[in-house]
Amino acid sequence: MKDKERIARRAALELKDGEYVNLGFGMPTSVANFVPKGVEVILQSENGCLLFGGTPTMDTYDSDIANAGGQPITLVKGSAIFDSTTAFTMIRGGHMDGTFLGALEVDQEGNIANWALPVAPERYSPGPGGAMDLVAGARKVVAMLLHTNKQGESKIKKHCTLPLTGAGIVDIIITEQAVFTVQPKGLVLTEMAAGKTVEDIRNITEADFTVAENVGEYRLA
Amino acid sequence: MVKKLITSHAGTCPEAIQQYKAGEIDIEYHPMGSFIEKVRAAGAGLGGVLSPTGLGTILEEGKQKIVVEDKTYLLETPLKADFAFIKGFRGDRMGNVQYRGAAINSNPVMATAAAYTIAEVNEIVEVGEMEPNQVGTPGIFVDAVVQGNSLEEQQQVLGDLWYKAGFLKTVTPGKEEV
Repeated sequence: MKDKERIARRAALELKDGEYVNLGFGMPTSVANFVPKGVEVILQSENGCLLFGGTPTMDTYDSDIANAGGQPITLVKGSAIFDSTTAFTMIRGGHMDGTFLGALEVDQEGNIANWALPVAPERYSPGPGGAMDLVAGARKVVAMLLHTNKQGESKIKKHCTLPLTGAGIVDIIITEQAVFTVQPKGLVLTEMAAGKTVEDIRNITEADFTVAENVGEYRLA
Repeated sequence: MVKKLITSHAGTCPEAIQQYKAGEIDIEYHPMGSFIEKVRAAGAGLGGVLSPTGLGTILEEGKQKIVVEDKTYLLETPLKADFAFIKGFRGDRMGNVQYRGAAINSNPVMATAAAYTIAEVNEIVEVGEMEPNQVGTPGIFVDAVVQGNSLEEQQQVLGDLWYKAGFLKTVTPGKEEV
Protein backbone atom coordinates (compact mmCIF):
# COMPACT_ATOMS: atom_id res chain seq x y z
CA MET A 1 0.00 0.00 0.00
CA LYS A 2 1.31 3.43 -0.89
CA ASP A 3 2.12 5.84 1.94
CA LYS A 4 -0.53 8.35 0.90
CA GLU A 5 -3.21 5.66 0.83
CA ARG A 6 -2.20 4.54 4.34
CA ILE A 7 -2.59 8.11 5.57
CA ALA A 8 -5.99 8.48 3.88
CA ARG A 9 -7.22 5.14 5.30
CA ARG A 10 -6.09 6.05 8.81
CA ALA A 11 -7.58 9.54 8.54
CA ALA A 12 -10.94 8.08 7.49
CA LEU A 13 -11.13 6.37 10.90
CA GLU A 14 -11.46 9.83 12.44
CA LEU A 15 -14.84 10.31 10.73
CA LYS A 16 -17.91 9.91 12.93
CA ASP A 17 -21.38 9.10 11.68
CA GLY A 18 -23.40 12.18 10.79
CA GLU A 19 -20.49 14.63 10.76
CA TYR A 20 -20.27 17.60 8.41
CA VAL A 21 -16.75 17.59 7.03
CA ASN A 22 -14.63 19.53 4.54
CA LEU A 23 -11.80 17.64 2.86
CA GLY A 24 -8.91 19.67 1.50
CA PHE A 25 -7.16 18.97 -1.81
CA GLY A 26 -4.66 16.23 -2.46
CA MET A 27 -4.45 13.45 0.10
CA PRO A 28 -7.54 14.54 2.08
CA THR A 29 -9.78 14.25 -1.01
CA SER A 30 -9.08 10.51 -1.12
CA VAL A 31 -10.29 10.07 2.48
CA ALA A 32 -13.79 9.92 0.93
CA ASN A 33 -12.84 6.57 -0.65
CA PHE A 34 -12.20 4.94 2.73
CA VAL A 35 -15.16 6.03 4.88
CA PRO A 36 -15.75 3.10 7.30
CA LYS A 37 -18.85 0.92 6.87
CA GLY A 38 -21.79 2.19 8.89
CA VAL A 39 -20.46 5.75 8.91
CA GLU A 40 -22.13 8.40 6.79
CA VAL A 41 -20.58 11.83 6.58
CA ILE A 42 -21.81 14.91 4.78
CA LEU A 43 -19.04 16.48 2.74
CA GLN A 44 -18.88 20.21 2.10
CA SER A 45 -17.10 22.02 -0.69
CA GLU A 46 -16.33 25.67 0.08
CA ASN A 47 -17.41 26.98 -3.31
CA GLY A 48 -20.96 26.13 -2.23
CA CYS A 49 -22.04 22.49 -2.04
CA LEU A 50 -23.13 20.35 0.89
CA LEU A 51 -23.41 16.58 0.34
CA PHE A 52 -22.05 15.34 -2.93
CA GLY A 53 -21.11 12.06 -4.58
CA GLY A 54 -18.07 10.76 -6.40
CA THR A 55 -16.32 11.75 -9.60
CA PRO A 56 -18.55 11.59 -12.70
CA THR A 57 -17.67 9.90 -16.00
CA MET A 58 -17.57 11.41 -19.50
CA ASP A 59 -21.24 10.39 -19.76
CA THR A 60 -22.48 11.76 -16.46
CA TYR A 61 -20.58 15.00 -15.77
CA ASP A 62 -22.33 18.38 -15.59
CA SER A 63 -20.18 21.40 -16.49
CA ASP A 64 -21.82 23.48 -13.72
CA ILE A 65 -21.19 20.95 -10.93
CA ALA A 66 -17.64 21.18 -9.60
CA ASN A 67 -15.81 21.45 -6.29
CA ALA A 68 -13.70 24.34 -5.00
CA GLY A 69 -10.72 23.10 -6.98
CA GLY A 70 -12.69 23.24 -10.22
CA GLN A 71 -12.92 19.46 -10.49
CA PRO A 72 -16.17 17.72 -11.44
CA ILE A 73 -18.34 16.19 -8.70
CA THR A 74 -21.85 14.72 -8.71
CA LEU A 75 -24.96 15.76 -6.85
CA VAL A 76 -26.92 13.13 -4.91
CA LYS A 77 -30.26 12.99 -3.10
CA GLY A 78 -30.11 15.61 -0.35
CA SER A 79 -27.39 17.75 -1.96
CA ALA A 80 -27.64 21.49 -1.35
CA ILE A 81 -26.09 24.29 -3.39
CA PHE A 82 -25.47 27.85 -2.20
CA ASP A 83 -23.10 30.73 -2.77
CA SER A 84 -19.66 31.33 -1.21
CA THR A 85 -20.88 33.59 1.61
CA THR A 86 -23.13 30.79 2.89
CA ALA A 87 -20.32 28.26 2.44
CA PHE A 88 -18.01 30.35 4.64
CA THR A 89 -20.80 31.07 7.11
CA MET A 90 -20.87 27.29 7.69
CA ILE A 91 -17.08 27.17 7.98
CA ARG A 92 -16.29 30.23 10.09
CA GLY A 93 -19.52 30.08 12.09
CA GLY A 94 -18.52 26.84 13.81
CA HIS A 95 -21.04 24.66 11.96
CA MET A 96 -18.50 22.22 10.50
CA ASP A 97 -17.51 19.24 12.64
CA GLY A 98 -14.16 18.74 11.01
CA THR A 99 -11.65 19.56 8.35
CA PHE A 100 -8.93 17.33 6.94
CA LEU A 101 -6.02 19.22 5.44
CA GLY A 102 -2.80 18.28 3.73
CA ALA A 103 0.19 19.97 5.39
CA LEU A 104 3.67 21.03 4.35
CA GLU A 105 4.74 21.20 8.01
CA VAL A 106 3.17 20.88 11.44
CA ASP A 107 4.76 21.52 14.81
CA GLN A 108 4.61 20.63 18.50
CA GLU A 109 2.44 23.65 19.29
CA GLY A 110 -0.32 22.53 16.96
CA ASN A 111 0.63 24.98 14.23
CA ILE A 112 0.11 24.03 10.59
CA ALA A 113 1.69 25.43 7.42
CA ASN A 114 0.05 24.43 4.16
CA TRP A 115 -0.48 27.44 1.90
CA ALA A 116 2.81 29.16 1.19
CA LEU A 117 5.86 27.84 -0.60
CA PRO A 118 8.42 30.54 -1.34
CA VAL A 119 8.79 31.27 -5.07
CA ALA A 120 10.98 34.36 -4.50
CA PRO A 121 11.95 36.39 -1.38
CA GLU A 122 8.74 37.36 0.48
CA ARG A 123 6.67 35.86 -2.36
CA TYR A 124 4.63 32.72 -1.83
CA SER A 125 2.48 30.32 -3.79
CA PRO A 126 -0.26 29.13 -4.13
CA GLY A 127 -2.28 31.09 -1.49
CA PRO A 128 -4.56 30.01 1.36
CA GLY A 129 -7.85 29.44 -0.47
CA GLY A 130 -10.32 28.40 2.23
CA ALA A 131 -7.77 26.66 4.47
CA MET A 132 -7.30 29.52 6.95
CA ASP A 133 -11.06 29.85 7.42
CA LEU A 134 -11.39 26.08 7.85
CA VAL A 135 -8.76 25.84 10.57
CA ALA A 136 -10.24 28.90 12.32
CA GLY A 137 -13.78 27.54 12.29
CA ALA A 138 -13.94 23.75 12.21
CA ARG A 139 -14.30 21.93 15.53
CA LYS A 140 -11.66 19.32 14.68
CA VAL A 141 -8.60 19.87 12.50
CA VAL A 142 -6.86 16.78 11.12
CA ALA A 143 -3.45 17.38 9.51
CA MET A 144 -2.26 14.77 7.00
CA LEU A 145 1.31 14.62 5.70
CA LEU A 146 4.25 12.37 4.95
CA HIS A 147 6.47 12.11 8.02
CA THR A 148 9.63 13.27 6.24
CA ASN A 149 10.52 15.17 3.08
CA LYS A 150 12.49 13.73 0.14
CA GLN A 151 15.75 14.51 1.95
CA GLY A 152 14.54 12.49 4.93
CA GLU A 153 14.05 15.57 7.15
CA SER A 154 11.16 15.59 9.60
CA LYS A 155 8.05 17.56 8.63
CA ILE A 156 6.87 17.33 12.26
CA LYS A 157 8.85 20.33 13.53
CA LYS A 158 9.60 21.99 16.83
CA HIS A 159 8.52 25.20 15.08
CA CYS A 160 7.13 25.49 11.56
CA THR A 161 9.54 27.28 9.23
CA LEU A 162 6.97 28.12 6.54
CA PRO A 163 4.21 30.74 6.95
CA LEU A 164 1.38 29.39 9.12
CA THR A 165 -2.14 28.58 8.03
CA GLY A 166 -3.28 28.62 11.63
CA ALA A 167 -1.67 28.86 15.07
CA GLY A 168 -2.29 26.20 17.71
CA ILE A 169 -5.33 24.73 16.02
CA VAL A 170 -4.35 21.20 14.92
CA ASP A 171 -6.04 18.40 16.89
CA ILE A 172 -4.51 15.32 15.31
CA ILE A 173 -1.51 14.65 13.06
CA ILE A 174 -1.50 11.59 10.81
CA THR A 175 1.57 10.47 8.86
CA GLU A 176 2.32 7.12 7.23
CA GLN A 177 4.42 6.22 10.30
CA ALA A 178 2.56 7.59 13.27
CA VAL A 179 -0.44 9.32 14.78
CA PHE A 180 -0.07 12.17 17.28
CA THR A 181 -2.73 14.07 19.16
CA VAL A 182 -2.08 17.68 20.11
CA GLN A 183 -2.63 18.22 23.82
CA PRO A 184 -2.03 21.28 26.03
CA LYS A 185 1.21 19.59 27.18
CA GLY A 186 2.34 19.03 23.57
CA LEU A 187 2.30 16.17 21.08
CA VAL A 188 1.31 12.73 22.26
CA LEU A 189 2.20 9.66 20.19
CA THR A 190 -0.83 7.38 20.08
CA GLU A 191 -0.08 4.98 17.21
CA MET A 192 3.01 3.68 15.40
CA ALA A 193 3.34 1.71 12.16
CA ALA A 194 3.66 -2.05 12.64
CA GLY A 195 7.19 -3.07 13.63
CA LYS A 196 8.27 0.45 14.64
CA THR A 197 9.53 1.41 18.07
CA VAL A 198 9.23 4.73 19.90
CA GLU A 199 12.95 5.15 19.20
CA ASP A 200 12.31 4.74 15.45
CA ILE A 201 9.66 7.47 15.58
CA ARG A 202 11.94 9.78 17.61
CA ASN A 203 14.65 9.35 14.97
CA ILE A 204 12.42 10.73 12.21
CA THR A 205 10.61 13.36 14.30
CA GLU A 206 12.10 16.78 15.08
CA ALA A 207 9.28 17.76 17.44
CA ASP A 208 9.28 16.78 21.10
CA PHE A 209 6.52 14.36 22.02
CA THR A 210 5.41 12.11 24.85
CA VAL A 211 4.06 8.60 24.42
CA ALA A 212 0.48 7.72 25.29
CA GLU A 213 0.08 5.05 27.98
CA ASN A 214 -2.05 3.01 25.61
CA VAL A 215 0.09 3.66 22.51
CA GLY A 216 -0.92 1.12 19.87
CA GLU A 217 -0.32 -0.14 16.38
CA TYR A 218 -1.22 2.12 13.46
CA ARG A 219 -4.77 1.27 12.41
CA LEU A 220 -5.88 0.93 8.82
CA ALA A 221 -9.42 -0.24 9.53
CA MET B 1 -1.36 44.71 -18.42
CA VAL B 2 -2.10 43.38 -14.96
CA LYS B 3 -0.13 45.05 -12.14
CA LYS B 4 -1.56 43.27 -9.16
CA LEU B 5 -3.80 40.28 -8.47
CA ILE B 6 -5.89 40.27 -5.29
CA THR B 7 -7.05 36.72 -4.66
CA SER B 8 -7.16 33.85 -2.18
CA HIS B 9 -5.44 31.25 -4.34
CA ALA B 10 -3.42 31.42 -7.54
CA GLY B 11 -2.48 27.75 -7.80
CA THR B 12 -4.79 27.07 -10.74
CA CYS B 13 -3.24 29.95 -12.71
CA PRO B 14 0.40 28.98 -13.44
CA GLU B 15 0.84 32.05 -15.67
CA ALA B 16 0.14 34.35 -12.71
CA ILE B 17 2.54 32.45 -10.45
CA GLN B 18 5.23 32.65 -13.14
CA GLN B 19 4.82 36.43 -13.50
CA TYR B 20 4.69 36.84 -9.71
CA LYS B 21 7.89 34.81 -9.34
CA ALA B 22 9.59 37.00 -11.97
CA GLY B 23 8.46 40.17 -10.16
CA GLU B 24 6.27 41.28 -13.07
CA ILE B 25 3.07 41.38 -11.00
CA ASP B 26 2.18 41.55 -7.32
CA ILE B 27 -0.19 39.13 -5.64
CA GLU B 28 -2.10 40.09 -2.50
CA TYR B 29 -3.57 37.03 -0.76
CA HIS B 30 -6.56 36.98 1.55
CA PRO B 31 -8.23 33.92 3.05
CA MET B 32 -11.14 32.97 0.78
CA GLY B 33 -13.78 33.60 3.44
CA SER B 34 -12.27 37.01 4.29
CA PHE B 35 -11.88 37.91 0.62
CA ILE B 36 -15.55 37.25 -0.08
CA GLU B 37 -16.60 39.24 3.00
CA LYS B 38 -14.42 42.19 1.92
CA VAL B 39 -16.21 42.21 -1.42
CA ARG B 40 -19.60 41.76 0.23
CA ALA B 41 -18.87 44.68 2.58
CA ALA B 42 -18.03 46.92 -0.38
CA GLY B 43 -21.21 45.93 -2.22
CA ALA B 44 -23.38 46.27 0.87
CA GLY B 45 -22.11 49.67 1.99
CA LEU B 46 -20.43 48.30 5.11
CA GLY B 47 -17.21 49.71 6.55
CA GLY B 48 -15.76 46.25 6.91
CA VAL B 49 -16.23 42.90 8.58
CA LEU B 50 -14.58 41.39 11.67
CA SER B 51 -13.17 37.90 11.19
CA PRO B 52 -10.92 35.70 13.33
CA THR B 53 -9.50 34.03 10.22
CA GLY B 54 -5.79 34.56 9.69
CA LEU B 55 -4.93 35.49 13.29
CA GLY B 56 -1.39 34.40 14.09
CA THR B 57 -0.41 34.23 10.42
CA ILE B 58 1.47 36.61 8.14
CA LEU B 59 -1.85 37.57 6.52
CA GLU B 60 -2.81 39.48 9.68
CA GLU B 61 -0.05 42.00 8.93
CA GLY B 62 -1.41 45.46 8.25
CA LYS B 63 -4.89 44.55 9.48
CA GLN B 64 -6.34 46.28 12.51
CA LYS B 65 -7.15 44.01 15.49
CA ILE B 66 -10.40 44.63 17.31
CA VAL B 67 -11.59 42.88 20.48
CA VAL B 68 -15.32 42.18 20.79
CA GLU B 69 -16.65 40.35 23.85
CA ASP B 70 -13.13 39.17 24.73
CA LYS B 71 -12.46 37.67 21.30
CA THR B 72 -9.90 39.14 18.89
CA TYR B 73 -10.81 39.74 15.27
CA LEU B 74 -9.15 41.23 12.22
CA LEU B 75 -10.85 44.16 10.52
CA GLU B 76 -11.40 43.21 6.89
CA THR B 77 -11.93 46.45 5.00
CA PRO B 78 -14.20 46.77 1.94
CA LEU B 79 -12.81 45.74 -1.46
CA LYS B 80 -14.47 47.12 -4.56
CA ALA B 81 -13.62 47.13 -8.26
CA ASP B 82 -14.22 49.17 -11.39
CA PHE B 83 -15.40 46.13 -13.30
CA ALA B 84 -16.89 42.77 -12.30
CA PHE B 85 -17.16 39.92 -14.77
CA ILE B 86 -19.65 37.34 -13.59
CA LYS B 87 -20.91 34.13 -15.15
CA GLY B 88 -24.57 33.08 -15.05
CA PHE B 89 -26.89 30.60 -16.75
CA ARG B 90 -29.66 32.84 -18.07
CA GLY B 91 -29.96 36.63 -18.25
CA ASP B 92 -32.60 39.08 -19.42
CA ARG B 93 -32.86 42.67 -20.64
CA MET B 94 -33.43 43.95 -17.10
CA GLY B 95 -30.09 42.49 -16.08
CA ASN B 96 -31.59 39.72 -13.99
CA VAL B 97 -29.25 36.73 -13.82
CA GLN B 98 -30.06 33.13 -12.95
CA TYR B 99 -27.35 30.73 -11.83
CA ARG B 100 -27.07 27.01 -12.43
CA GLY B 101 -25.49 24.43 -10.14
CA ALA B 102 -22.36 25.09 -8.13
CA ALA B 103 -21.34 27.67 -10.74
CA ILE B 104 -23.13 30.21 -8.51
CA ASN B 105 -19.96 30.34 -6.36
CA SER B 106 -18.90 33.94 -5.62
CA ASN B 107 -20.77 35.47 -8.59
CA PRO B 108 -23.69 37.01 -6.62
CA VAL B 109 -21.27 38.83 -4.30
CA MET B 110 -18.90 39.97 -7.05
CA ALA B 111 -21.85 41.43 -8.97
CA THR B 112 -22.57 43.87 -6.13
CA ALA B 113 -19.14 45.44 -5.65
CA ALA B 114 -18.12 46.93 -9.00
CA ALA B 115 -18.89 50.21 -10.71
CA TYR B 116 -19.76 48.25 -13.86
CA THR B 117 -20.86 44.61 -13.80
CA ILE B 118 -20.88 42.44 -16.92
CA ALA B 119 -22.70 39.11 -16.86
CA GLU B 120 -21.81 36.38 -19.34
CA VAL B 121 -24.70 33.92 -19.68
CA ASN B 122 -25.45 30.72 -21.57
CA GLU B 123 -28.79 32.05 -22.74
CA ILE B 124 -30.50 35.44 -23.02
CA VAL B 125 -34.22 35.14 -22.35
CA GLU B 126 -37.22 37.47 -22.55
CA VAL B 127 -38.18 39.45 -19.47
CA GLY B 128 -40.63 37.31 -17.50
CA GLU B 129 -39.26 33.94 -18.58
CA MET B 130 -37.24 33.69 -15.39
CA GLU B 131 -39.38 32.92 -12.35
CA PRO B 132 -38.84 35.68 -9.76
CA ASN B 133 -37.32 33.27 -7.26
CA GLN B 134 -34.92 31.95 -9.89
CA VAL B 135 -33.26 35.36 -10.06
CA GLY B 136 -29.90 34.93 -8.31
CA THR B 137 -28.65 38.44 -9.04
CA PRO B 138 -31.31 41.13 -9.50
CA GLY B 139 -30.79 43.45 -12.46
CA ILE B 140 -30.03 46.45 -10.23
CA PHE B 141 -26.48 45.09 -9.86
CA VAL B 142 -25.91 44.32 -13.55
CA ASP B 143 -24.91 46.80 -16.27
CA ALA B 144 -24.47 44.50 -19.27
CA VAL B 145 -25.48 40.97 -20.25
CA VAL B 146 -23.38 39.15 -22.84
CA GLN B 147 -24.23 35.95 -24.68
CA GLY B 148 -21.41 33.46 -24.09
CA ASN B 149 -21.22 29.76 -24.87
CA SER B 150 -24.56 27.97 -24.91
CA LEU B 151 -24.97 25.35 -22.21
CA GLU B 152 -24.26 22.63 -24.81
CA GLU B 153 -21.04 24.37 -25.92
CA GLN B 154 -19.99 24.92 -22.31
CA GLN B 155 -20.66 21.25 -21.57
CA GLN B 156 -18.35 20.32 -24.49
CA VAL B 157 -15.58 22.76 -23.49
CA LEU B 158 -15.51 21.69 -19.83
CA GLY B 159 -15.81 18.01 -20.79
CA ASP B 160 -12.72 18.28 -23.01
CA LEU B 161 -10.82 20.21 -20.34
CA TRP B 162 -11.71 17.77 -17.55
CA TYR B 163 -11.03 14.75 -19.75
CA LYS B 164 -7.55 16.02 -20.69
CA ALA B 165 -6.80 16.88 -17.06
CA GLY B 166 -7.78 13.35 -16.00
CA PHE B 167 -10.56 14.68 -13.74
CA LEU B 168 -13.27 12.36 -15.09
CA LYS B 169 -13.61 8.75 -14.02
CA THR B 170 -12.89 6.30 -16.82
CA VAL B 171 -14.94 3.13 -17.10
CA THR B 172 -13.65 0.18 -19.12
CA PRO B 173 -16.51 -2.00 -20.45
CA GLY B 174 -16.77 -5.29 -18.56
CA LYS B 175 -14.28 -4.18 -15.90
CA GLU B 176 -14.49 -2.63 -12.50
CA GLU B 177 -14.38 1.15 -12.44
CA VAL B 178 -10.83 2.42 -12.15
